[in-house]
Amino acid sequence: MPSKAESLRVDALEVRFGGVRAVDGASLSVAEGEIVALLGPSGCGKTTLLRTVAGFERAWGGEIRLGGELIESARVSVPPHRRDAGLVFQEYALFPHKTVAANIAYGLPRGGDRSVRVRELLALGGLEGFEDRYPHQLSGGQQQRVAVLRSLAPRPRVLLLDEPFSNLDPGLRVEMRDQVARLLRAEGVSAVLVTHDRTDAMALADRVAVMEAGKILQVGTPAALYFEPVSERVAGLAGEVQFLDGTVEDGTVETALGPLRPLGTPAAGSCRVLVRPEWVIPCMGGGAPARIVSSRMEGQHVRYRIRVRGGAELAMTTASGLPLPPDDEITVRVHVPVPVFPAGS
Amino acid sequence: MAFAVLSHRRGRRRPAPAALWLPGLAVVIVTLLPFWYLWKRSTERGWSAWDETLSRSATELLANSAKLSLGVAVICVAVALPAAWLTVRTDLPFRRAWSVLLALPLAIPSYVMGMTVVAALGPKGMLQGWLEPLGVDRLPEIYGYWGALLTLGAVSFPYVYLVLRAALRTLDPFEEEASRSLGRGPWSTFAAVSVPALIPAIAAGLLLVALYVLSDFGGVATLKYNTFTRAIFIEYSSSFDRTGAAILGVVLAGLAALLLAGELFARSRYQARARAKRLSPARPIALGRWRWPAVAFLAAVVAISLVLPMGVLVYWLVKGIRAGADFPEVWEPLRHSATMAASGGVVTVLLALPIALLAARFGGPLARLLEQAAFATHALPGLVVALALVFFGIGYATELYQTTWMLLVAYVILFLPNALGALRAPLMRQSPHLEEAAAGLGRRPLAAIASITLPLARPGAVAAFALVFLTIMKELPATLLLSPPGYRTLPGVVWSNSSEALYGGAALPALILVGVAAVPLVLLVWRGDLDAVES
Amino acid sequence: MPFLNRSLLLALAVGLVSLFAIACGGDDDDDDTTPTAADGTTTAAATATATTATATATQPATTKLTVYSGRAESLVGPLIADFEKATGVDVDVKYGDTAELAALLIEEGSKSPADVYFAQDAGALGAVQEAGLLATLPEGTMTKVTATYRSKENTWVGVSGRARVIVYNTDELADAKVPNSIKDLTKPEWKGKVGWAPTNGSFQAAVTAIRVLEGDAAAKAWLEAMKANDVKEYKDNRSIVSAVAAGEISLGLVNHYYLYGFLKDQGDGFKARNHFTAANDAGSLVNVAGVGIVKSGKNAANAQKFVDFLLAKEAQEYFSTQTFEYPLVTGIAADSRLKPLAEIDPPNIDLSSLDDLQGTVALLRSTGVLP
Repeated sequence: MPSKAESLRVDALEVRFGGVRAVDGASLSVAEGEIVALLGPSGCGKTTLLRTVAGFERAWGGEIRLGGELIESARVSVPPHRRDAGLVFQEYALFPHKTVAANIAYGLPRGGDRSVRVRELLALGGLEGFEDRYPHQLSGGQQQRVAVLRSLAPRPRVLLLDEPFSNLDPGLRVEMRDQVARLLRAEGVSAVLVTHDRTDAMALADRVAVMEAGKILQVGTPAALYFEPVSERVAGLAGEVQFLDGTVEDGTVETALGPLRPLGTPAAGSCRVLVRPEWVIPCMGGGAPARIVSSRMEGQHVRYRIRVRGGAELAMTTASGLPLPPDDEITVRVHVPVPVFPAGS
Repeated sequence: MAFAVLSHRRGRRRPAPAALWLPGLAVVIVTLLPFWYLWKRSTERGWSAWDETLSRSATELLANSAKLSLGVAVICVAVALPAAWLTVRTDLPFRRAWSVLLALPLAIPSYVMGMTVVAALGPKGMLQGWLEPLGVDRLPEIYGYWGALLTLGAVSFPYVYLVLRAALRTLDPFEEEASRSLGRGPWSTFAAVSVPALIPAIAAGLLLVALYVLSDFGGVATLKYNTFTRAIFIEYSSSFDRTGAAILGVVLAGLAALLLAGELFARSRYQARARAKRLSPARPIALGRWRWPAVAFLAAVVAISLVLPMGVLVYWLVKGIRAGADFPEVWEPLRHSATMAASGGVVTVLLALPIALLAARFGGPLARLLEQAAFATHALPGLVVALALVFFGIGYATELYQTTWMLLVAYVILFLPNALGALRAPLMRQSPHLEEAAAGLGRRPLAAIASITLPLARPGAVAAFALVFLTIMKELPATLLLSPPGYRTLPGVVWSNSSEALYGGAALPALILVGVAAVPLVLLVWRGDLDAVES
Repeated sequence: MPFLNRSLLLALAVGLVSLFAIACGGDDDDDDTTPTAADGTTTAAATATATTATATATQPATTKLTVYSGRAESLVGPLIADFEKATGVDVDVKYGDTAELAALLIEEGSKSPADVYFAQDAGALGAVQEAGLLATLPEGTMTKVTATYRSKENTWVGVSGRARVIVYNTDELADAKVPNSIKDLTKPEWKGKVGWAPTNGSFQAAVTAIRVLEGDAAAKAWLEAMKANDVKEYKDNRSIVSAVAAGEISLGLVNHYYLYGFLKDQGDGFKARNHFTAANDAGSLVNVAGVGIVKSGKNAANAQKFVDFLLAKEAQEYFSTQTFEYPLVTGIAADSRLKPLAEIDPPNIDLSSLDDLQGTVALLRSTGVLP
């Protein structure tokens, strides 16, 4: 991806509301055709960043470039309608007095082939036959697709999606995620997706930027964030976490689960070790002894609580099957290199 | 599923388009002319004139004005809140008919209401005549505070009623359902959940009513209650003293400013929350055994505010016909009044739009100032506004002076707040994201407003038109002073006849006036368009 | 749901058509008022008034006249129509409250479009004169009316007289029982039974009369005694007559002619009649409706014609028979139901004296009669 041309670049962006720095020196780069997710808890500044890119908030410092053109800085601000940046709102903001077709055609230049493009998009979104409906006559999922199609219609330089799936129920959500991903890829558009749901982010994005308190903590592929988080905070935002105390010595880290292979080359001394529940797997021997405290079948997987040496309790998830009963003695090991963080962080 | 409303914490603001604030500013400057005029007149004799004027019972008059405004406000809430709730939320029999009947008193001018209240409820009025066989020799005094309260309350409550109906329609039924599920009954839910959510709407409605009461002359003069506005008229009519009248006018404006501040406070404290509309309307609440008491309550309200004045007018008309009274020519005045009301309605709504848009979309001190300034004039008596326009017309716009254009300007100044009030709510309720979506799709701000905001604000604009139309139909003092010589209007004909005791002659034009003023109102309420002031 | 639906288009269309009508409608009354050239009286009247026209012939002759009338259209409308018919002058009238029109004239100052101010009471004429807005009338016009009923500065002239009377309820009282002096109204038997209208110019003139006749102290004492006797306050004369007939009060201090309007409108069953007080009682003051020519008017010749018309026989008879006022030009009889003007013998005070009026208003305020 770095080989591709850069579409959007956000550099040391700062946005303030009164005394609060909602975005505090955030930098981000999106390549042509790349989908980047901004993942963070609510109030972290991710929506503000998105709205600043769209032109609805003003920057106090830093700059934003789109296709190389400076569109926002403390001094420059291209008005929203001249940015070529499509924004899909959380509640869709479909025009209630316009039909589906008119909504989609709204951003297209007046003239010849509007209907061609509208028909093409309707087909792409599987909405043939709905063109004369009004938004209130559509289901939530249909409304959402219309909102995305409407923003895609004028072929924006970047598509910005603000929590697009948060108003959908879980079943529909997975389906819509796939459909939107397909739409975006089919149009080859660069996109920034704001979400607080890590599954949305990871399922849809090429890269994920984790954001907190106005700052971007880490940008990387979903795998990199999951397996190689740079901080405990990123680790927590990217997936379920539990930590073990450990000591680094001679390239290994000694923990209650025995010696584990650390990620990279951490400095010697005491530390905290990230062990995600599914990284712990039962094994036939050569592992650390553990006793099952409780077990529960949760559909796609089985979740255990196990007690390990020294009395610490850990969560462990395994592929689905008949759960082992409590009090069984087993041995477990960790099958990936574990991220190690300094103690007391 | 509520809209994520535009965060009210704003960072650096994108400036509003000049195409909005320039006309807005121009309109507001025109509406502020009366204040400049008042200031000029009130200071032309130096400060000693202030001492002299204000030392004369000014505090008592101020207290009377405040007392009346407050009393009318209480009546408005006490009548309008249950009336709106009953006609919107319950299974009341003949809901639609009640909805229209309760709105209709808005079309009755306060001077007509005053005249008919005295005729019907005076110590020896028609009611006493009916009660005579029962040995009722005399009814208690209607004149003074209570009579003025009744008169102004009757013509004002429909305004609050209409505002509350619209607000009730858009209230989130989920909150009420939550309260019901927590074990509260319908009444208790209404008091604990619905009423607090209605406070911004109530405050907005009451503001207009209170400002109107401050400025009213027709009602208080007939019922002999000494308010500030009556004192201003006395200053003109007994002493021909412009300075004294202007000084009282400035004080009245100060009172208006206090009211405006109060409303602003209520609005910020109970920020109107934008709510999503649920597809199916809330199920009507069954009144059960309260059904007939509710009907009796509404019937009493309609009897006093509508049947009484209309009945007296018809009685006078019949009596006049029997006595062979001369009836004035009404068709030409009707044509004039309807023309002015229709054009005044369109122009006022068009000019109110930029201000309403600025206030609802761009916020900021300038927009707020524009909006407040437009409202401030509403407390000034029509006579003062008219004289201010005379001053400016004679001095700076001689070509326009004593033409219907000048009259149109007066109507815009006087009734801009009515239009703003009706436009503001639907604009505030529209998600600002709609315009942002349009901008994101490449539309310039004005194009976005034209293609998205305005079509969606149409019901509000139509409602605003109806309200301004009927208010212009009723307006008397400015109409008398500013219409070109020879330009006869319906209120003028009513006034002319009633001032010379020709009740029969006054009844006919008064009935026509009320009838015509009510047409757009009835249509809108019947079709439910005044409630649907949302997308 | 096309957003420019029919109702919106209709509303816009109505508004725009209305605007258009306003733009072109300045003259839309002309059809009604243009005199017929074939009408023989036009030329006759024009010749008749030719002499007065030459007096002010410095201005070009016009066919227009703008009148500010504090008298209601229902009272003087027919008279003005007669004037138009007789002279061919096209009259535009602005009807309004006498005092408000005075305020308007004063505000308009030297640019007023008005040619004539036709007022309901002398005080308002005095105020407009004080502002220097009224032209001097020719002596021939002034002397048609007794000195009592015209301005000492020769700026306005009374055209009809209205006497102060006590109106009484015929169910409760016989004419003989009604007091002959307003001084008697402070007696206990009338407690709470009398109505007055303190904002009314004629009432204030009557109070001025008491001050002139008996001094300020006596006037003050009377006002206070009236208040102590629970006098009822009304908005205007008309409301008092109406309240008396309804039996709300027994007596009222009013101008005499309101009663006849009610009798005409509601028939003879109307339960109120007038009582004239004794000669030279302050209660028997005669006020006037008068007319003055506005200095800055563009149609001075027509204005003069109008004033002369109001003082001519037909108009004076009109006031006598149609509005039940006293004709002020000698030789024209009042309605037979009225006490003849000569017998009333009102107190002799300057009706337009502004100083006196302000003194009266101050007195009314200090006694709490006016706010």
